[in-house]
Amino acid sequence: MINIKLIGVTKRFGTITAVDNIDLNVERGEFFTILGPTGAGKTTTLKLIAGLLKPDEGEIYFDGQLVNDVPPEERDIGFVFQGYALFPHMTVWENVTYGPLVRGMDPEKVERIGREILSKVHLLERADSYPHELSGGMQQRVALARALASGSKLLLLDEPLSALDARLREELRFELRNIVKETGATAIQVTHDKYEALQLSDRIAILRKGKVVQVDTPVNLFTKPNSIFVANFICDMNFFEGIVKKVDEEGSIIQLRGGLLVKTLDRTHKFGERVVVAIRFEDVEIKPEEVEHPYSIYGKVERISFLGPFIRIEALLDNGEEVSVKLPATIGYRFELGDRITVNFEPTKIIVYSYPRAGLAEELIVE
Amino acid sequence: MPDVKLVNISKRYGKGRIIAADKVNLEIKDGEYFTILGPSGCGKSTLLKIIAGIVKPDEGEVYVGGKLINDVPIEERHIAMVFQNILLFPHMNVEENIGYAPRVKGIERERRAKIVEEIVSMLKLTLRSTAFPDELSRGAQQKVSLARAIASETNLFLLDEPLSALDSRVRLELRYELRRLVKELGVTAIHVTHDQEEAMSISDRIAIMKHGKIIEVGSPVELYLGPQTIFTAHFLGKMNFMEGVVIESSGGGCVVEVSGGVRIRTKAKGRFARERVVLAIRPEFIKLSQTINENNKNVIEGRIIEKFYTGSYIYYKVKLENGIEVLTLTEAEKMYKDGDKIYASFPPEYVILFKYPEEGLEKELSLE
Repeated sequence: MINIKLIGVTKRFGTITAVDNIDLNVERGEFFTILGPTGAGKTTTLKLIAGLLKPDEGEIYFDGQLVNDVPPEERDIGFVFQGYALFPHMTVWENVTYGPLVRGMDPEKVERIGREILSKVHLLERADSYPHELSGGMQQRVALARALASGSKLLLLDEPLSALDARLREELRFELRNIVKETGATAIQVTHDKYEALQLSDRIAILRKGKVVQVDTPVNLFTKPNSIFVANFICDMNFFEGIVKKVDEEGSIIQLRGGLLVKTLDRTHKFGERVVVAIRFEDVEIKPEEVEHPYSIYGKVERISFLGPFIRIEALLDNGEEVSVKLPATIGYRFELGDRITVNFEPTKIIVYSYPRAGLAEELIVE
Repeated sequence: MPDVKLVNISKRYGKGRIIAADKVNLEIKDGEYFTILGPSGCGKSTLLKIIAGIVKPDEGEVYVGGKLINDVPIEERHIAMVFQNILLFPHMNVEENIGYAPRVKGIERERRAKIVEEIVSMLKLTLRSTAFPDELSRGAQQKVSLARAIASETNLFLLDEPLSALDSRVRLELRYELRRLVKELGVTAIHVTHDQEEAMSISDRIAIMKHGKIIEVGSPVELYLGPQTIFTAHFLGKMNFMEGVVIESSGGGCVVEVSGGVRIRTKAKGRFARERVVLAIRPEFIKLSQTINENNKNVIEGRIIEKFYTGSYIYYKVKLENGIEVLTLTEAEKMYKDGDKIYASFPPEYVILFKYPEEGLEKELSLE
């Protein structure tokens, strides 16, 4: 277990600032995830921690010790990097047990750990295969097993499940956290998959254009995203532009396009202010008929997609805007294409943001 | 016009050791969005390549629009393909890439520009048409390759993991776009993927494939709620399985005894004798409560042993008193802690039964 600290770390490639004055503090034994869209600087951050890249500015500390000038091989790290190869001349078993053997671990214990970890990544039967005999997904699982078995105090996992089939990825996702916790290591994972981040992590840092925009626990990030960008990235969120029409002790009333009115509990925005109203797909209530109510919004079902446990409905509201709704499938079956519906935005479920300077569309770009 | 029919298609690789397609029969209707879903190595891409004419089958016939096309060369099949690895012409800009097929067909410049313009607006491509592929994000590149496929004016689209190389957010957005386009154009689409949620959300019908064989074909809802095989139940969505023995069987359902003598009543109809079975239930159908509710059926006591936060919903792993672990999916509004005592209820209408597989349950669940 080890504590990792980044202070004011910056890394530039030519004219591009990949990592821009980042501060991070990863606690001992924490499963920490760096989440963000492609090009946000996630992998660069991980490589800086690994020592594969040197920061242009700032300091990196392992347990209080400055490691800026410590080469990667002396940092005692277990890696899973994309394209970071396995030993091609060694079998799966030899790859996985190499670390602990080099550390002088008792052979019986090495045997036990090797078997345990390989069976957890579903590769015990392939222990005698060589890397080139395995699929990309299998190779990635071997790399993961090798990192987990290494006995290193720090695991750096760059999209550790990305090469796997969706089904297997889900299965391993449920197990990865446990396996990592059992090793006792501090783990830093990089991903662009929010579910991977939410399910596995103690805390998550959201990166955007080289900057950290929010660091928090999964629950806090999901329930209190501090910006439109974070809300859009971590939740399935609807956004509507609006103007504050009234503020009182109970909250505010916001007018959306087409004169639709929405009641909220928000009191932080002033009368006349331009705002963005946000509500999660699963928090939108819909009824399969037109129900009259002062804050009712009407629309028509445009698209229905079946997701297994859930059904996602997209509806065109009468003001011309689209709303997405996620319902448990058992309820969602009631709706059909073309149905007229009533949409209700429950005041307690609405988050109101100030209208972003660069415009709403810019905040919603994820690539 | 382009309905696609595969009759007894077989294909082996590696001197016959690897069976990529094993007597596959499939009928894909005109205008259908059809998906072939299966784990890697199941042979799904091979099937697509056989339809495209890139791979020749060892046995069997391929019909498109009622015409046998086994011996028709690729370029005469008039099929548009989109791959996971985006293959745009790097030296051509967006407009030239999209206009390539019309140009090769000898369509004159003005009409070509019009076709490109129409497709660009249809795809809501908000990018400069003079941009080169390497200036675009991956999502935009894949949109352009889709646009290029559309411009070829064919009626049959073959999509080989078209979204797999994209960021998860972009992937979700393009998913819906794909289906919308296919339906708007009225073309037939055959889409190959290993992503079950992708398959369920965009397809009219799905074929589940394993080891070169089609296991089951049906609409997403049919396959999800009423899978006929353990493999489909396992591969499509999440499923809890328990081994058991039928101890009572009548027209209204059966009673199954699982580990620890626990009895579970099901509404699965009477085709089961007093035999060994596999009982299955999806995580979202198991109800959790901290008190015993009279209305709940099949209640088993247990403890929360793990939780996986996914936002508005949480997966809890519950260890039941008979030692069996089940995964449940509940709204995050009720949050339980590790170690909390819980009553899990298994509504009889959601409990599915399968005959016990000859080679054992574990073998049936294996993905590789």
